[in-house]
Amino acid sequence: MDAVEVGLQARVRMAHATLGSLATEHRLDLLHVKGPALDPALTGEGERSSSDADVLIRPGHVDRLVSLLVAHHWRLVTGFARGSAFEHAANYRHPHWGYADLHRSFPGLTVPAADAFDALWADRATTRIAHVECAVPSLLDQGLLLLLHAARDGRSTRAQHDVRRAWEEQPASARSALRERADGLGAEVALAAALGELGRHADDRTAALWRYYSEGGSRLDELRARVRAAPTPRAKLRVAADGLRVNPEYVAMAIGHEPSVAELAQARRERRRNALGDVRDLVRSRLRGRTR
Amino acid sequence: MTYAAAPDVAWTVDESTEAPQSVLLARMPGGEPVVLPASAAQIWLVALESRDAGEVVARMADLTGEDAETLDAPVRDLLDDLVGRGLLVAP
Repeated sequence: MDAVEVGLQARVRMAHATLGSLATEHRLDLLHVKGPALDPALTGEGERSSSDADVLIRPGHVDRLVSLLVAHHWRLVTGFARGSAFEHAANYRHPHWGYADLHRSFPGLTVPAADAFDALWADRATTRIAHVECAVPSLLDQGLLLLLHAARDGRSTRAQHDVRRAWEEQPASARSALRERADGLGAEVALAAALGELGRHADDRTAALWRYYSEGGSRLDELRARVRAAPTPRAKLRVAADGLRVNPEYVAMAIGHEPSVAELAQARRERRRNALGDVRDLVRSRLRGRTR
Repeated sequence: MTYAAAPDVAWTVDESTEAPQSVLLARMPGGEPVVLPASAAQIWLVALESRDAGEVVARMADLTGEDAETLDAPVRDLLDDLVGRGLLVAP
């Protein structure tokens, strides 16, 4: 099948509609998040543009949805384990509708993913995307998810806009409801990152990771934060080992084709060089500190 | 009662194109995409507010300034095609 020549936002809406239709037809619980699924009251700008269709699937329904996606010509681009430090989403591509991000959890919600989904699903609302009825989180939950997402991208203009709309411009009662909802879903630290309040959670093992996402830092900062955030010694070891590993799917996206053995080896060398550069910078800065 | 998009059809206006904009539609969840460019898109949008083919022709004549007699056959052909493909439901 060839891609249809249409605008990106129209394709994203059709991708949402396709995923929503599949979920309805097969009785899968699926929430549409971000992009055209966002309530305009939160974006303050009409429909929110997006480069892909983001959906959150009930964790127990992931395998069934993945099978359906494959049967309907969606192809895996990046798997859950390779997607991010949170291993929360897999990316799929359809020849006509483009990209979809399939979330099995939402970064920042630390209660078990199934419990978080239950809570979001229980309060869900509906909206129509491309004239297809789609389930979306409640307005309160959309606001919380928008803030948690902003926490991972705190330096961008869009994240700052989202914090302004979803928090700063909200009345005290809405802010209070957001904090209460965040507490119930174990999202206090991520919300604090969005609001610039991470100092209140300095002892939390995930605080450094949220600081990295909201304020930026070096690759070494990220690796240290990820190791600290890992819940068990075994998980810490795995994170440390993965930190220097090259993700073949990212290399493929970067160079536009499946990487050869030589290209992967080159990517590994560059990754090690970058990491070593970070270590050298760290050692130099500490030496400078001692000699002052 | 007007024409209606079939219950299993998703459709959206592609606002990235110059006006008159095209309409993108497909049967869900696995149908092939159909792009209705410019005039065909207008016919789709007008049909969703019209009670029969004659009304679609008359409205399109008003919109475009074309003679209704000239538009009659192509408009009816498109409506029949869309209905035949299961994308549009006749009133």
